[in-house]
Amino acid sequence: MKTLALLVAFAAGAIAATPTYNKDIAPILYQNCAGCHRPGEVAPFSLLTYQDTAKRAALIASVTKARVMPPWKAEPGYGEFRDVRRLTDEQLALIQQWAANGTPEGNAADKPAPPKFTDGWQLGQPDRTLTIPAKFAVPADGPDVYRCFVIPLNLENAAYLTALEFRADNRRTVHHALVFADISGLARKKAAASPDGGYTCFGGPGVPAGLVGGWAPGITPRKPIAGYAATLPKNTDLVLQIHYHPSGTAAQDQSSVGLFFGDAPTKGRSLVLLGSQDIDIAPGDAHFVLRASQMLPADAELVGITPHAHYVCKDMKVNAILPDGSTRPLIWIKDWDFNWQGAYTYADPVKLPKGTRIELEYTYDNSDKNPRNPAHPPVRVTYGEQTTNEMGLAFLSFAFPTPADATAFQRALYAAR
Amino acid sequence: MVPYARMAALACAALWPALLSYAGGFPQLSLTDTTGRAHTPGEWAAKRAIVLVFVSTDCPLSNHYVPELNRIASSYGPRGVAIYAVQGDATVSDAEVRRHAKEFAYGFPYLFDPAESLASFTGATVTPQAAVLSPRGELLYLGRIDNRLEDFGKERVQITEFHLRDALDAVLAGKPVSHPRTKALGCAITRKK
Repeated sequence: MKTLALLVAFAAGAIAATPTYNKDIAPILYQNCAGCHRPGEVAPFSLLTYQDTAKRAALIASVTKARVMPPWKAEPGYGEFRDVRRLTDEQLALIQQWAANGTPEGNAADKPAPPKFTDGWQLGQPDRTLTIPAKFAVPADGPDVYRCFVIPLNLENAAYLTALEFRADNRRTVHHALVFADISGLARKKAAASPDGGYTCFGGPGVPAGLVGGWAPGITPRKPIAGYAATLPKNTDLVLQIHYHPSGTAAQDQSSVGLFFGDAPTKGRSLVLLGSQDIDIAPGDAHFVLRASQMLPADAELVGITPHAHYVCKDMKVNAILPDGSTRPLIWIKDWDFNWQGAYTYADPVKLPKGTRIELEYTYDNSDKNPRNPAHPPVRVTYGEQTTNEMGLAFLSFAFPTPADATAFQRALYAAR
Repeated sequence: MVPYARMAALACAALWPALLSYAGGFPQLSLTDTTGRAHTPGEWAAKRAIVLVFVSTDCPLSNHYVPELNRIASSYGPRGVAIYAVQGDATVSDAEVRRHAKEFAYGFPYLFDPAESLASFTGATVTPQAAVLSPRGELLYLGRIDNRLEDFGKERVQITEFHLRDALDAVLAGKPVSHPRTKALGCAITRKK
């Protein structure tokens, strides 16, 4: 009977359009997954062949349906972004059906050519490569490790950074990285006694340093854009903050960052920090709301947004209220996960006129029902950079016709604060 | 998933008469570990409990647990608990399984199970998943090791429930396991087609 039922199921499937690996599934995976899921890359297994994919069909169906993979936290319709890694409902349905049908391979003639990838540096050979001074030991087990490595640039003159690419060394344990530029010399002091040039840090570098780049699995390094560059004064130290996730076996890492230099910028950029330190969440409070806003003192183009909070934050909304009273959503992350921090670049810069108010509204769940709560039972959570503290901010990256416009914008903004 | 489930059901249906006819409840098998030693259910008769943990070489969810499994092995081993890792992906080469067992420093036997007989016997479906058996082969617990993974993409910063340890504590105390089945999340155990 069972065999008969099975045959009937297959026959019924054959009459309806049955998705096959070659025709339907391979194109989805090649386009959206293989960038990381290929040999030597950051994902734990490859998804380049039928065999590798078919045996994981159930897992692939589960994680894509839950939208855990591919990792992309921004809700569609709230900001139009570049390099979106979000499968469509139709693609999800195809994967579900393919897995349910017993993973048919299909006709070899339907199979697309495997994607071609660049090994090593994605942006080409960097002008300068900086590597952590010594191998950093990551334990097999235990809490995640957050380490800030300080690498002096020893520049003779100011330099103009046009692009930056982070290259993880031990891809099994490196989870994500943020790169900061420190001109205060404070990070260097913090790291002074350490052989690996580093110190423990969690939310940020613990010093007033500007964010210049980052990396998380799946992120495509941004190519230089004509006219733009970040000016690095000659006393700049790079602070490389790396989040390590213990993998089950002791590991060592010596990751690198590639820097690309160019001419002095002819256009302006300004990174605005929007947020609030007014965080005091009672233990058990499942719905603490943090609000912050910023009026724009001049016309500006928003090119990117990087929201940031820690473990108990669950929902992030940033909206622009235009002078005419209308609302333009800039981003909505419904299920914030500290492990998937991302820098989001708009498909086209968002033009925001003078007088626009940017509003941030983050919601936190400090109850025991939140599995990501680092405290059990929950404890009072206040602002700070430690794992047990919270933050609530968004880095807003604005573009201007000239560097002078950016400077004027920044001055007006801080004068109004 | 339907055909997979049905195939598994068919496989089980084929195996069950043999299993039931075996006096002790265990399938009659001899499995080799990654060091070349053979193991049979005979060595389990003198134990107070047997733990089988289904694992795979390239599943990070499974690999994360090796240090905790080693701790469980060293803490429960002296109290009469035999613990084994069981290969949960028969499509991976033996050489790769051996290399992996060495790299992750499994401190207890890691069994090859090319016919997936232990997965069929216990009903395990994913890696990592733990089964606790009595020396007579009764399945006393099947499920997750602890609640680190609340859901795909939702990892607990602090683990609050230790299901495998709790099950072993209950068995060693001669008490029933309070939650004999929990939902394990992980990478599917590869069923041969």
